[in-house]
Amino acid sequence: MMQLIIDNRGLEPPQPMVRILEALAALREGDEIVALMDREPRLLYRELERRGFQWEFSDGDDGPRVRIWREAHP
Amino acid sequence: MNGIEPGAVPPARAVAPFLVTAPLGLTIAGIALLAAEPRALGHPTTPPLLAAVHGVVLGWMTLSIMGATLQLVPSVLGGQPFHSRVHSGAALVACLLHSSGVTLMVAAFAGWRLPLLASGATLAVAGIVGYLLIVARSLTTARSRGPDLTSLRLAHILLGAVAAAGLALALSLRFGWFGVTSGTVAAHAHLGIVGWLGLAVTGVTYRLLPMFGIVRGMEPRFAGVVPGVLAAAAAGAFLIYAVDPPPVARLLLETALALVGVAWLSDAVRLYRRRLRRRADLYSRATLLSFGFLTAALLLAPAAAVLPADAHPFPGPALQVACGFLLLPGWAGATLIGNSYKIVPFIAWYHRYSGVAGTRWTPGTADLYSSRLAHAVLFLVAGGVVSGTAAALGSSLVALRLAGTSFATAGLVACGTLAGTFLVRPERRAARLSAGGTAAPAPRR
Repeated sequence: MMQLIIDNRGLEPPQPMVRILEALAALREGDEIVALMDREPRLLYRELERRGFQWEFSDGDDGPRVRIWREAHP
Repeated sequence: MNGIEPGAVPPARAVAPFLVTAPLGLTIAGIALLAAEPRALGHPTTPPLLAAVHGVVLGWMTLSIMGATLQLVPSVLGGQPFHSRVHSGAALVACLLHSSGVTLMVAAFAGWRLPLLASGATLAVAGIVGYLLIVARSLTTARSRGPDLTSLRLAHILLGAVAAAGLALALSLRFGWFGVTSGTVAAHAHLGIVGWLGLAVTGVTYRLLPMFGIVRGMEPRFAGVVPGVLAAAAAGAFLIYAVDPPPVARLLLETALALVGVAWLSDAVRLYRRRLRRRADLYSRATLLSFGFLTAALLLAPAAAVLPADAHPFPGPALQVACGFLLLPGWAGATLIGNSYKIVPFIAWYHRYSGVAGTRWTPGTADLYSSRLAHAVLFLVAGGVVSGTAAALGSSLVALRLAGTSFATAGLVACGTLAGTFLVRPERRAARLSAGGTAAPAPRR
């Protein structure tokens, strides 16, 4: 299992979205992306859903972050 | 997945018409100033100034805020979006009704044609009612607990109130229902400028300044009280001005309003100074200009409220006109320009490129418009504000016409550049460069 960390903090939209979407291609089943964000990337979710990925957003003490993984095949 | 609505994005066809056509309100306001006669600067309620104020506030600013609210409340504040073609069609109809109504109103004020004014006001209010019905679902379901959402909700309630009051005034002028005095006009103006425009701009700034400038770990001191106090002050001003109050009441009221403005400005300046993104760009320049114009307006406002028409060197009405230039195209206008060139290019990018981003080259938002032209819009508006203020203080028709020319040109350039974000094809240039053996350019940021 590979965990790819993408630090999107400080970047202007749409760069955070583009960097995450570019990284999706390298993601295999069991791998995940953890993207560090300045805020919740609401507009990303439609693309993730369309491309068959799942996500979980959290906003804890270490700042907003979104975890992304490939949807498991049934 | 945290209960987030994945499709929290209204269609571009519903939002873009508001944002792209809005600057034409500035253009028609500028034309109204260009056609003004020498007596136009005598009082804030002369026909050319009424025409210009309605073009700026009801045309440019209201349409921009409407479009931004339709976009930001679902996508940033978590409100439920609308998806159906019926809703999108209704938004387009509301936009058309409103913009055609405002155009008629500006023409009617400029030529003082009361039947046309009544028709224009009816159309504009119909557009506002339609918009309020469409945006109500997003505003009532949004989840943010911050001052941004509180301000927007209160501002939209007051938009309904000021539209009703404005329509009553227009129909009264036409049919003689009740006497329209400078007091009732001032009441309507305060409800619109403080209650709708002021609340919306201050509230949205509490969200967008930290978002665009990236501010972490700072709570604005007055964010919890500014929306409620501003809404109460707008409602109070409406009631007080409606009965033609004595100078002392006007002084107290305007001083109180100025103090709320100072509280908000201190918050905004602190947020600006704590931003992590410190590059000097259109947004930062527009924000600084807006702070400067608001400071000048706050300093003038109490004196403008009490000085008589024969005061020297500056009569009260002239100071009121100067305040109008500083506050409307100055503070609110500069803020709007900074926000528009962030929001509109991103909406255009999202609808055009998000579906292919990550699979092939896509431009950045800065590739979708000319930064030089966007700066030209900002500096034309700022120049127009300075010129308009000088015109008011010096009774100069030449300076007023210079302001009109600046505004008319700025509105056209803004409309063209914002529309262009949906039309330009930077990927074609990238493909040509790629075919010619040159690497595709990196997106401009």
